[in-house]
Amino acid sequence: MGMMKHLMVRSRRRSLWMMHFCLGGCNGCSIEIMAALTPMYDLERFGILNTGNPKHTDVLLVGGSVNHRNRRTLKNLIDQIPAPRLIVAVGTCALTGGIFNEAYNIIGGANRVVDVDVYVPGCPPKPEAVIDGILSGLDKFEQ
Amino acid sequence: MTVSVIPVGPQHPVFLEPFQLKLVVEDEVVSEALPRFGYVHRGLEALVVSKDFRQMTRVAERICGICSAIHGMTYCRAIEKLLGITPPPRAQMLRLVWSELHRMHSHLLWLGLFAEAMGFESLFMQIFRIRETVMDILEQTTGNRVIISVNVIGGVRRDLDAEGADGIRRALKKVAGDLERIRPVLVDDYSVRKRTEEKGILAKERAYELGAVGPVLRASGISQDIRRTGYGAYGELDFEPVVESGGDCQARCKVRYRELFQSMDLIRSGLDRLSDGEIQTKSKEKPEGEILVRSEQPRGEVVYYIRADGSKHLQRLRIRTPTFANMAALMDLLPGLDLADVPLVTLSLDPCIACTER
Amino acid sequence: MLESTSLVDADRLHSHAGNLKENGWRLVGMTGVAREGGVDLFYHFDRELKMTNLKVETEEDETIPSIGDQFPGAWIHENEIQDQFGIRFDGLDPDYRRLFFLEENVEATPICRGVSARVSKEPGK
Repeated sequence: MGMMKHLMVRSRRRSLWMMHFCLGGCNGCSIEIMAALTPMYDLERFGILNTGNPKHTDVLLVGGSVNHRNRRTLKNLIDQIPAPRLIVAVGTCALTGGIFNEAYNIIGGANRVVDVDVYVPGCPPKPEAVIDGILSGLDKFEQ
Repeated sequence: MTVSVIPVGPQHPVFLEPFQLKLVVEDEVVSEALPRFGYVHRGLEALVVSKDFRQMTRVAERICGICSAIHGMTYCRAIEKLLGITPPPRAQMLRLVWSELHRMHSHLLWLGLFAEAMGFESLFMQIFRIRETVMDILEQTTGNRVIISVNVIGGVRRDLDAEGADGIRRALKKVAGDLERIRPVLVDDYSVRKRTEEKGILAKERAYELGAVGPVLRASGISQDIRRTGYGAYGELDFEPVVESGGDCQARCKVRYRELFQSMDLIRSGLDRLSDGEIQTKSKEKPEGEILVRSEQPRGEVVYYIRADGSKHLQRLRIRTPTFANMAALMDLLPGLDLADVPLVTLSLDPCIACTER
Repeated sequence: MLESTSLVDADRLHSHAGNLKENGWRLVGMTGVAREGGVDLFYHFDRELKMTNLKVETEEDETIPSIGDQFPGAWIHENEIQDQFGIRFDGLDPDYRRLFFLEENVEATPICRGVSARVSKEPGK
C-alpha cells in the first residue's frame, strides 16, 4: 500500500488539471493565461491541462480583484474544488486590488475571500511568470 | 413542451470572463434570454475623484486589456482637445501603428477563441501561434505584451527606430503568410461552415436600430467605421471599411479576418509615412470644458465623455464601450437559437465584459 | 458645453427622440453627470459619423420616460444610469431595479466629485 501511495503522490504533480477564473480586472491576465496554454509557452508539457469544470480542477488561477458580486461566485467555485488544491493569484489586481483598489465596487485582492497559495505579480504577468507561479506551488501536492 | 430555465455562467468554459445568461428554453430552443452583469464591475469612472487626469491615462488603459492601447489613445485625445494641444505628426503616426497592432492581436485572440468555441482545438492553437508574432513585436517595440502604455497626454512615451520599423515589417510579412495558410480552414472548411453559416443572423435594419457597432454592424452590411472621421493620423491614410452582407457568425468571422489584412496595410503605409521630429507636445495647463470623443476599437466605436473644471481632477469621465452597445444586439439574437449554438453566437459578437462593466 | 446639444424637457423627450429616429439617427449612448440637486442626462445620437445630443436636466427623484420603445437598445444605458444615479425610468424593460451592476449593499456611487460614497469595504456575509 505504501508503494501505491508513493506512486500516486509522485504522479499527481505531473498530471494536474487547471481552471482559470477572471474576476474584476481588465482581462489582461486572462489572455496571458490563455497564451501560456498555447504552443509558444505550452503549459501542457508539464502535464497541466485546461478544464472548465471546478470538480475536475486541481489548480485554480484567479485573475482580477474581488468585487461585491463576484465574491460569492469565487467562494462557490472554490468550495467545489476537491482538496488538495492549489490557488494561484495572477496579476496585481488579484494580489491587492491593484489600480482599482480605491474604486467603490472593489473589495480587494483574492485573499480577501480565499486562501491563496502562490502570488504572481505583474500587470499583466508574462506567460513565463504564470507558468513559474504554478510550478513553484506544485510541492503542495506531495504533502 | 417543457419550459426550463438554464443559467449559463458566471463561470463557463467558453466565456473568458464572468457573466451570466439566464436562458428560458423550450425543449432545445431558447425563447428568452436575460443577462446578469456586475461580476467585473469596478466603478473605475469614479476613480477621477482620487486620481488626477494624468494618472487616469493608466486607468483608462486598464479598462480592458485587449484594447488597452486604443482606450489610452482615446483618453489622451480627449484631454489634448481640452488642453488645446496637438501631438506632433510622428507621435500621431506611432499611435496609429500601435493601435493597429493592438487591433491585430485582439482579432487574432478572437479568432482563436472562436475556433475553441467550435471545438476546433488545433485551429485555436495555430491561431495563437500566429498571434505570438504580433505579441513579440509589441514587446520589442514597447516593452510590454498586453498593456503597452505608450500613450501619454500630448504624444507617445517611446520612439521607434528604423530597426524597430523593419522588425515590424518583417513580422507582418510572416503573419500575412501564416494567415493566408489558415484561410481555407476558416472560410471553406465544411464543418466550420456548418457550425457558423446562418447561425445568429442579425438583419441590417435591426442591427442599426439596436445600435450595434464595429465588426457586428459591418458584418450586417452597414459600412460604418469611426476611423473614417479621420482622427489622429487616420485622415492621411486611405482605406475603406470592411463590409460583409451575411449578418451571421460566418460574416462576422470574415469581417475580422479581412480587417487583419486591412490593419497590416495601415501599419505598412503608416511606417512609410513616418516623419521625423518630436514625439510629445508638453503642456502644463489643466483641462477645462466638456468634450465627447470617439474612436474605433477592435470591437467598434468607443465614446469618451469628459467634463473638467480646470482643476487637477476631472469632474466626470464616462466611457461608452463597444460591447456595452452590442449587448442589446446579443439579447435580440439569442431567442430562437438552439441551445448548442448559444456559446458560439455569443462569442461571435466578441463580448468584452471588462469593457462592458468597467 | 457640448457641440450641437439641445436642451429638452423630460416630458418632450419622447417626441424629440421620435423625430431623430424618423430621420435615421442611431442611439450611441447616454451619459449622466451629477450636479447640485439633480443630474444632467445626455442622449448621444449619430448619423453618418455626425453626432447630436439631447440634454435633459432632471431634479432629484424625478422619473424620466424611457425611450426603449423607440430605440430598443436603450435599456442597457438606462439601467446603468439608474444604478449610478438612482433616476427612475418609466417603462424600462427589462428593469433591474438598481441591481444591474451593483449589489444591494452598495448604496451610493461616488460617480461624481462632491457626491459622497457610502460603500462598505468589508466582504460582509
